[in-house]
Amino acid sequence: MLHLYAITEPHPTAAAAGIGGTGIVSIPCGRLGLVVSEHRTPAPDLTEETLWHHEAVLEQLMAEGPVLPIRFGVRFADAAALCDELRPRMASLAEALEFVRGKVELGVRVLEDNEKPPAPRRSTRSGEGARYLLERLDRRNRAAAVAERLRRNVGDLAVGEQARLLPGKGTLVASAFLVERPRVAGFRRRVEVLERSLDHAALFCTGPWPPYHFVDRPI
Amino acid sequence: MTLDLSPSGHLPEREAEARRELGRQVTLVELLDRILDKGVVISGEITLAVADIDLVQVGLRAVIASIDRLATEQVTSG
Repeated sequence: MLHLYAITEPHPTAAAAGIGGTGIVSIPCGRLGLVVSEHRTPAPDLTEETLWHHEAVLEQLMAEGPVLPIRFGVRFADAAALCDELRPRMASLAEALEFVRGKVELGVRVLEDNEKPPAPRRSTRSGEGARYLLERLDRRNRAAAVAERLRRNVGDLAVGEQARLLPGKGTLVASAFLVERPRVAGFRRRVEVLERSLDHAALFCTGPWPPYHFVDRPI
Repeated sequence: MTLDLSPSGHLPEREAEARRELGRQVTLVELLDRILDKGVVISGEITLAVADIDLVQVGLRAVIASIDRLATEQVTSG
């Protein structure tokens, strides 16, 4: 079975071993290169180590040219079947590759700071239910305000952005930005400065990642 | 994968270590968020079953829970 990592331009790759130590090869498919490794097992082991291995291959590919990362877990019996599956989408995938050329994805996750919680909204007339709803509304408004502030501070350094408000417990905002490589350092500096000025929140900037959030369409 | 933790540069060592650990957990959440939910979607001959993904999401919830725990510990250690 072929485990698929990424779509690239059709060129050989120097990426080191893939999942389980298997060799990485790039299979030409029209205007695309399909980066795969061969495995005996039909499905990959779903462990943290395997996921990081998949990601490590993508990060090596990023050094060689534009990359469209594949969602983890796709395997095909042979290269012909894989190429046949992608043929109808070849033009749009080639366009997406061109769009992400020279760019990387940076993540900014805003966590609620338990050390400095915001003052709860008080109302002597509110019952438990109303208080719960007011707190939820406060939290959503706080997340929206932080997302807007983040956008105002770094938006001009990015060519694309996707933000989610309250994506999980303890997280106000999870944003992904598509940034041209020369602007990465400046982007991080701006996030640092913003964190120092924020109350009730901690910011974490991660990346560079392959452009996971920006593979479908130009923003 | 690198993680920008430079704001911890001016923190006391114990607090900086707590932030680094929190950063590692955040990076894992960011990876899971991307690798299992984003990227080009292709229907392969073998595509991970939803049940398998659910197992990882259980792990993801555990990680998020540990982020909350670490954040609390950061408060008590500070």
